[in-house]
Amino acid sequence: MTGDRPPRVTPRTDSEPPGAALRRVPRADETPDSSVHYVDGEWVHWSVVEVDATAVPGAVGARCLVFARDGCIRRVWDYPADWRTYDDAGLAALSWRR
Amino acid sequence: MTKSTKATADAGDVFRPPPGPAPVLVVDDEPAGVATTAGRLADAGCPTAVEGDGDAALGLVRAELMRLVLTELYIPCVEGACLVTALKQERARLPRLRVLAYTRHTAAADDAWALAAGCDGVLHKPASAGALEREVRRLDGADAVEPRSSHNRSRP
Repeated sequence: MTGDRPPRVTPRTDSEPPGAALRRVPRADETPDSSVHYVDGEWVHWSVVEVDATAVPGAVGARCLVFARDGCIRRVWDYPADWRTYDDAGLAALSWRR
Repeated sequence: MTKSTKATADAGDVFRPPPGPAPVLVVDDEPAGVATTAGRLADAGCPTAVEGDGDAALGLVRAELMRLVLTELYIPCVEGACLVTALKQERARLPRLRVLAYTRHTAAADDAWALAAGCDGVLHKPASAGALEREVRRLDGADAVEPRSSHNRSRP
């Protein structure tokens, strides 16, 4: 029910992607591996980070994405190089990949 | 409702999966836990097999009877301290195998350990039936549905 959804913390403009107000602004000294935060279609907060996977048994590639919310983690091997440019809906869809 | 099946890899009593999609192998060393998990998946129409022993589970997967294993963490097997690592080290022979840790071990260190062992996902117990089904469907592939198509921030 959409009526049960919590109000946004910060009003957003039409030009701003959904969840942008909740996205952490990276510091200048952070590495490119810093996590990105987004909110999915059910208003669940997720973080996603690209990690080195060379030491992981059964690794499909050298790196992978790790999506995490409270109580749930998804590892995704198949993802585009420009995943950081994706908006909330794009990241949510990406988390369904394997 | 799809019934879950007690699986065994013992000689002379080889588990034969039913026709159709490969069942999800549920591995848990707590009988109550395995029954609950298998029951929830069965209610969702997902065929399951259950096993409480790490070595027997390993045998079933190596026989290519399973392609998705839903397991508790720290299930020992003869080849090491954790079934997950033993399974994942055979990627060359089992490239389609996916492992989801469904676990009562919910500390951050346990999550990190599960990922380091090679799990494709982690779900903490107790999870809702819907959450459990979603994560299984994601890894099972055939029925995985992305809720929305991808959106790129840089697109006009």
